[in-house]
Amino acid sequence: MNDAKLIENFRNGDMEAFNRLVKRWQQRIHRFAYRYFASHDEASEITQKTFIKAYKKLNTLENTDKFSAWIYRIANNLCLDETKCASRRRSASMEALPKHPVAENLSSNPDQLVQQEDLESILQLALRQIPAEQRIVVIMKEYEGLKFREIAEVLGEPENTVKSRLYYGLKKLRTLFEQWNIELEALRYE
Amino acid sequence: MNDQLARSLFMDYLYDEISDEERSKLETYLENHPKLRKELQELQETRSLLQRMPELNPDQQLLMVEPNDRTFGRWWQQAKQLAPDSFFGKSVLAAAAIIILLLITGSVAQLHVETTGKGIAISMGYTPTVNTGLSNQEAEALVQKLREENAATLSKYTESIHRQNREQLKKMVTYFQEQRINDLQLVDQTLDELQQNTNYRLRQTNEYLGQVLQTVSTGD
Repeated sequence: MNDAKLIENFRNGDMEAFNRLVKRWQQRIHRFAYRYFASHDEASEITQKTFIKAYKKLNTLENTDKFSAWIYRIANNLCLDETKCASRRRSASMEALPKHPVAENLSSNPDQLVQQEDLESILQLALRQIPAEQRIVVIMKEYEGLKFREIAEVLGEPENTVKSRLYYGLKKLRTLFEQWNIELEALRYE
Repeated sequence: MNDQLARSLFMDYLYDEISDEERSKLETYLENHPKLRKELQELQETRSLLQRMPELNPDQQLLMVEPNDRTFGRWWQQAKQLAPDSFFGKSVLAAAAIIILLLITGSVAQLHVETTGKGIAISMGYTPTVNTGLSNQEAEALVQKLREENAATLSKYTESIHRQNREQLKKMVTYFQEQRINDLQLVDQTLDELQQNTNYRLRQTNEYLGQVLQTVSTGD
């Protein structure tokens, strides 16, 4: 049963249909939020809020075939809201953030190999250091596998804007990896 | 094609969302532009690095909304899950169910069980005999009897109280008389002692006076 049919059933009073939607989508939303915040707690909170909002607003979704973009849009807006709140609490500038300990070691000892768990935390740290609008596009493209058209639909932006944000996001990540001497070591690990 | 146009195709090329025609044009252009080719290669390496991120498997599940449209079949399935698994448990449950069923049936059918010397009688539609009460004459006789009994009881009680009072009074009079006699005896005894004491003192005085007179006459 596809999403549109489940939504139709939910609108007809079938609560189990909404449960099936949650089961189908919660892992993707959690993964998206986790890549954004690098925190399971915040990802769980965003996931919870996303589905609460979806539950309340699902009746307002006009085109049920667009559920995918709609649910990602909710999650994305919640992530951005949370980022705004967090930025009031702490500075998020690149210079202000500390360098990862493994990255520090690699800078001083390039022959050291990167362990998988270290690589994950380094990648998460790098993602946290690029602007939110670029980070979201990188996550949606790299980890959610959305097409440019779908990302543009989620964000309500032209496709070229999405591609531009992705391009600059990848460039900044590359710069960070070079600063941390990460890329060559990680590739050697492969 | 120029550098700017080539860069605008980088993302489509990297993520394989480019048409064959544009791909061909871009690759041809890059062959003659090593700087751009290097830039694209670096972007590709960055992508490769990002793809090393491990997959996530969140173990926690969100709370689900309780369905409100439970069918009879689902309800029956859930009810069956509540039944005990052991033979003993099932037997106890069955016995309890039979007893409850009998109680309900007996209540509805007004079942009545009566044991007599000849055996047990079971009847349905039983209506218990309702006590209609006493007639006026019986009631008056009963009231009269109760009054007489009350009057007799009251009379006995009054007599008993009077007797107790008389005995108490008698005891008090006896006590006061004994007390009076004792007091009189004590007064009498005290007077005797006083009399004896006075006589003694008079005798002593007379002796002293006799001695004084004798002394005076001897002196003369």
